[in-house]
Amino acid sequence: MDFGRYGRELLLELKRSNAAYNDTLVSSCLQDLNLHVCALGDQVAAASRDQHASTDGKPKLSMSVRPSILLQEAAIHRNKRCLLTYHWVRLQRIQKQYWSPRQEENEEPQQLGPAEEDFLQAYQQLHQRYAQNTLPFVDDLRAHAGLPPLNTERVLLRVVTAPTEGPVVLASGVSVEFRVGATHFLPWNDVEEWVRKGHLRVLTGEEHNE
Amino acid sequence: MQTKNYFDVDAILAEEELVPCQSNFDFSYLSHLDPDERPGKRHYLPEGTKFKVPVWAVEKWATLGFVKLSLPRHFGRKARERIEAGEADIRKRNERFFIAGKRLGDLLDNYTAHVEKAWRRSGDSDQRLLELIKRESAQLRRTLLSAYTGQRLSQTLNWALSSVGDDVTEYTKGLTELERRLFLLGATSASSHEAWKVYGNGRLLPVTEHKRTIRSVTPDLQAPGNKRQRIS
Repeated sequence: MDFGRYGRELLLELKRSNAAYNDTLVSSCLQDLNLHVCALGDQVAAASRDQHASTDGKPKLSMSVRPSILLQEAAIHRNKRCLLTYHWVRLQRIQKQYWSPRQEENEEPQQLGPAEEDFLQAYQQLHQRYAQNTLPFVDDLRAHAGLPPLNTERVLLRVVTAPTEGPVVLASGVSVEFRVGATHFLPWNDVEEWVRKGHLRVLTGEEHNE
Repeated sequence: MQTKNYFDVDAILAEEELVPCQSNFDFSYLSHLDPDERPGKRHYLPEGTKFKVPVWAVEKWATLGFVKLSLPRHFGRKARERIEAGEADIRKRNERFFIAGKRLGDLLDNYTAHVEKAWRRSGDSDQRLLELIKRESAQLRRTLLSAYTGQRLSQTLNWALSSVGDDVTEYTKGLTELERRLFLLGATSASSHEAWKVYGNGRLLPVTEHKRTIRSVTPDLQAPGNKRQRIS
């Protein structure tokens, strides 16, 4: 029985990395919690026996045993909180993985255990069912989550100021001539720099209908 | 920043801070808490023993007056003076220095409030000790506030909002967890702002299909003072 050690290690692992679900540590933490529950029960039973033994009309727990009982109770709550937090944080990460499937640069992907894979699948199916039943014109809720385009995706653009003079061949092999006011449908990778500089503007659905 | 969330990992880890205390009577079954205790010699912790326990373990004892509390060394008076002078590596003392410090301040305030009430009822009193603890708690809070909101805060915000795309490892490695959270929020906001300038700079236009519907209702459009006419 080590007061709160396994719970602390679980949370430190959460902070350190996106490692897989640590079944061993979770089991150790649960075992520790159960040991505290047993110890608490034994101490309360022993204290109750002493209490009955000292018949003075008002049964009271001995003062000397109260700190230990309170400590066991605090350790039980502590382990419970660590276990619940560990699982809650991992669930948040799994849900985030669904909503933001593209990882940031240098970000370690979250490794999932078998039960977590099942949860992610069930979560995806839940969202798909919701989309099909309530928003028939929406294939994927994530498409409306405001994600920026992938490098290989094509985007609709309007030319604000011509970034080059005359026709130009882009890195993807597309040949284009930029005229002010013209609309093009080009790979994002080729035009990102011009968009950032303000020469081209990405169009939304409403602007396309203008 | 919310730190009272049940699932806040940093708040939970901050409660691991060891608090020096002294038992006010014999504690049964807790002889192992005495750092000088030889195993098997006793089954209780004697009155007056000095030992250290985490904040989460001592909270209930403190409110019931089972122990006397004091501040950990790196939250004590000399350490606070060094922090206020800007000479201390705060993260090295405790990665969750500000969260743990606030937690300790709350613990001391609870302790003094409950003990004072109990002593008033029983007629006992050690006002000098209580005043000392209240003063320590107030000074600790002042130090935490001045350290967090001083130069460190302005530097953190400056770096967070102006370092989009830069390597900030050198700066962030000296920050406590609370400051890192603040930094991350600022950096995320700055990146989102940059992304908005690129992807979200279009004008909002009225929906064209609605316009076509209005135009098709010709007789009503001719009537004077008609709302549809005004809209078209």
